[in-house]
Amino acid sequence: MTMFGTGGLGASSSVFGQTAAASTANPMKDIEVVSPPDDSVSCLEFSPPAVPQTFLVAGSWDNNVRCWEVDQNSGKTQPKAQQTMGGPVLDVAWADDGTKVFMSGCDNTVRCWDLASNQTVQVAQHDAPVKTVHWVKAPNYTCIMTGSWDKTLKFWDTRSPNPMMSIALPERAYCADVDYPMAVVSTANRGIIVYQLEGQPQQFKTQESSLRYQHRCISIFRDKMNRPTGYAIGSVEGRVAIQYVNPANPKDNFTFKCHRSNGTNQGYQDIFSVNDIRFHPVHGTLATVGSDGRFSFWDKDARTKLKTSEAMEQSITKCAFNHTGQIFAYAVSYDWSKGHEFYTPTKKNYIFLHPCFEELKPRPKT
Amino acid sequence: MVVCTYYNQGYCRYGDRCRFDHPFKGPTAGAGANYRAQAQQPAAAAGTPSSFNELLTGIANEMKVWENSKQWPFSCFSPLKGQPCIPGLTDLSPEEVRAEAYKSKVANTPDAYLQFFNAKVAEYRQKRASLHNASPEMRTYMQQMFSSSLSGGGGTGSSTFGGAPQTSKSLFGGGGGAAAATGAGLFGKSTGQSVLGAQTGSASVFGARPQPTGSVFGGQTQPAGSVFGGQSQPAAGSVFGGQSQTTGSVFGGQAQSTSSVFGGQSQPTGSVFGGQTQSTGSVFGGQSQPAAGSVFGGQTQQTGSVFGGQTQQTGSVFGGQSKSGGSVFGGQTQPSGSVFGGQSGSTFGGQTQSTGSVFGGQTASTGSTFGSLAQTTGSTFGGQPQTTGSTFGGQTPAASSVFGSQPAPAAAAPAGSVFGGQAALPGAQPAGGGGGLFGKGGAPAAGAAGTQPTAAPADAYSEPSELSEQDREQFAAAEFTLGKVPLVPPTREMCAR
Repeated sequence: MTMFGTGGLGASSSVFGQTAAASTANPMKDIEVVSPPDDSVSCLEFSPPAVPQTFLVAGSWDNNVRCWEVDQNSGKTQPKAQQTMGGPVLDVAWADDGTKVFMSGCDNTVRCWDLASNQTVQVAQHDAPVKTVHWVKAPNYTCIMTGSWDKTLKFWDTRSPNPMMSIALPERAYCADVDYPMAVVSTANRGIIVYQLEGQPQQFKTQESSLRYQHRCISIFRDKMNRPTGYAIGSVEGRVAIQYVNPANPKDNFTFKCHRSNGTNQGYQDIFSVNDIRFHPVHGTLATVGSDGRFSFWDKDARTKLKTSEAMEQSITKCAFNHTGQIFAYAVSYDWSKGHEFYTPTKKNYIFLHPCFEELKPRPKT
Repeated sequence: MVVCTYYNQGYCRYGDRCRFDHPFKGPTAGAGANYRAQAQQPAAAAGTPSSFNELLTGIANEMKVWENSKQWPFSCFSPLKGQPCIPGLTDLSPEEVRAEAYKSKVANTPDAYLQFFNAKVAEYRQKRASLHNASPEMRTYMQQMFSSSLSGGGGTGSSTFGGAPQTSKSLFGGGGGAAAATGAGLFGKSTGQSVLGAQTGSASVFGARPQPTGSVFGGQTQPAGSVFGGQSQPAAGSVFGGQSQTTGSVFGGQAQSTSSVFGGQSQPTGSVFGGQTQSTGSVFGGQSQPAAGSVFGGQTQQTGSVFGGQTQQTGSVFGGQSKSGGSVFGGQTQPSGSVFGGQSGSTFGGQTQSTGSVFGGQTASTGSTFGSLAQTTGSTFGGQPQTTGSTFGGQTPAASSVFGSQPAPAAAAPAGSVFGGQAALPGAQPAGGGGGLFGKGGAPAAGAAGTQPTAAPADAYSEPSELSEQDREQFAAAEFTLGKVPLVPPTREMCAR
C-alpha cells in the first residue's frame, strides 16, 4: 500500500520521503506501523535521546508490549520484540538510558523489560491496576513512579521489592506526567497534585481544576527557560485546560474546547474525550488526540489551533513525539468511550507515524 | 486570518471546515457553557454566574447537553470552575470500565459486567436528571456553594454549609431516623425509601414499578436504557441492591430490603460497588463487608441514607455510617480512608447521631469536611482553612523556580484525601493524611509526604472577642448541640494541641 519514494528531507510533503495511499483507515496518508497490536493501544512511547536508533514501544489491551525500530529517513518500521504481562497493559515508560522499558498493567504489577537480554522482571506491586508508570532521574537518585487505582503513588528503586516511598492519593490515579524536578498526578474527581522531586519526592501543592468533568490525560510543559512550569489537562468533555503551577497572572490559566463536532444533532455538538496530550519537544506546541478520531495541533501561547486532521475510523487513544520532534505517532483503536457495545474486536488497530516538524511550528502572535 | 463571526457567537455550522479563523477562546464561560445561542448565559466575564438562578439553569442546561452530546457518562461534575464536584457523582474512567469487562471475560462471568454497566448507566442518568430538576435541598446546597464561590470559595470562617442544619434534612435524601422528618433528598426524596424508586421486593434498579409512596424517581416505568442506546435492565435482580450470589459480582450484592440504590451487600470482596443495606432506601449506602476494593458503599443500618452508609473497611469511596438513617454524605466511617462520608475525614457531614444532617450537623469526630465545625480542623466547608490565601494551604513566595523554596506548601497539604479534612483524627486517618483540598487540616498523619504545616494565618481562627457567649459555650462543651452549632471558627487557644 505504501510507496517508497525518494523525496528525502526537505521535500515539503513528507520527511519520510514516501507517500501512502489515502483510505478511510488512513485519511492522513501517514505511515502505518507494521504488525500492530491485536487490541486497543493503551500507551505509546518513543525511545529517549540516549539511543541512536529510534524505537517505538506500545502497550495494548491484549496484554502485550511491542517494540518496533523506526527508520528516521524512510519511516519504515520493523517489529523487534514483544513481551507479555498478566493482564492488559496500561502504561509504558523508558529508562533514560534507553536500555529498559517499564510496563504497568491490570495485573497490579510493574515489570522491567531489559531490551538487551529480552527478559522481564517484576519491580513493583500495587493493590489495584497500575495506571501510570514514569521514570524519574534525579541527580541523587533514580526510580520509577507508579500511580494506581488503589489510590497510592509509589516510588520504587527497582532493585528492591519495597517502595522507597508511598504517598496516599485522595482518589484513584488517572494520569500523571514527570519532567524533573516536577511531577503532576491527576486523580479521579478532578484532583490535581503537583510534586517536587528534588532531593526526594514530596508533595508540593494541590491545585484546583479549571475543568468541570473527569480528567483524562495530563502533560507538563516548560517555560521559555526550559523549566517545567505548568501542565495541560484533557477532560472527557472535549476541553483542555492549560494551568501554571505558579501563574504570574490568573489569566495565564485558560481552557479551550476541542474535539467536538459541528452541532448537527439537533443543535447539540457531539462532545468527545481528549484521550492524550503531548508537547512537542522542540517547539513547545501541543498535540491532542480524541475520541472523535482526530488529532489537533495547538499553540498555547498564541492561543490558536494550528491544524486538525481528518477523522480516523476509530478513536485515537494515544500519541507520542520522538525526541527530535520529527515524528508524531498516534494510535487508532477503540477507547471504550461508548461502552462495550461499540467494541469490535475484529477491527484492526493502527499506529500511524506522521511527519510533524513543520506543522507544529508556533504561530507568530498576531 | 479573518475571525469567523459565527464561531464568536458560539455556533459555526462549518466547524473545522470553516474557511475563517476559529481561534480558541480564553477562559470559558462558567456553568452553562452553551453551544448554541441559548438564552441563559452566565453573565460575569470571570465565569461565575451572577445570579443563583443562572447557576441553576446553567446546570440544568449542562445536564441536557451532557445527555445529548454522547459525552462519557460516568464522570464527576462541578458546576463552577474550581469548586468541588457535586457530591454523589463520582468518576469512573473508561479504562476502569473496560478492565471490569475484561476481568469478567476472563472469569467467564459476562453477566456480572453487563449488570454493572447497565446499573451504572442508569444511575448516572438518574443523577443527571435530578440535577436537571433541582429539588429544594439541591437548591439549598447549590445556593451555599454559589455564595461561597462568590465570596472566594472555600469558606473562611463561617461554615459554608451551615453548622447544625436546623432542619435535619440530608442533602441527598435519606430520611429515616428520628429527625429526618422530611428527608427530602438532594437526589430525590427519600422518605425511608430508595431515592431511585424500586421499593420492596425485587429490586429493579430504577423503579420499574412505581411505588406508592413518593419516591421522587419512583415510578419510572421504562427501564432506564443504556446511555448509548443499548440494553435495558437485566430482568433478574437489580444490580443495585439486588442479590448477587455470584462472587466477583461487580456491583453490589444483596439488599435485604431492596430499594437500596447503591446498596446491596457485597459478600465477595473486590466488589466494585458493593454495599449492603439492611434497610431500604439507602441510596449510596450499603455496607461493605469485604475489606478490599469496595469503591462505593458503606452500610446503612437503616433507611434513607443516601450517600451514607458505614464502611467497615477502608477504601470505601463513598459511605460512611449512618446510625440513624438519613445521613447523606454523612455517616461515620470506622475505618479511615473513606473519601466521602465517614467520620474520620468525613467529607460530608460527619456523624449524625440523630438525624440526617448532611451538611453540618455535628461531628464529634473531627475532620469532617463539610459542616461540622470548628472542632475539626480541616473541615472543608465551615471550619477554617488553616491558611487563607492559598487554597491548598501553603504559600509559595515567589521564587525563580517553579517550586520555589518552599517546604511549607507541601506541608500544608499532606497527601491524602482531596476533600478532606482531617488530620486531627485519631486513628482514623487515611494513610498519609489528608491533603485537604479546601483549606485544611491540622497535623498531617504519619507517613504523609508533606511536612508539618507552618503556622496558620491569623484569620483562620476567630478572635475571642468575636465569639458570642453561646458560641463559646458550644466550643467548650464536649459536643455541639444541634441548632446551636457555631458558625464561626474557634479561637486559636481552643484549638491548641
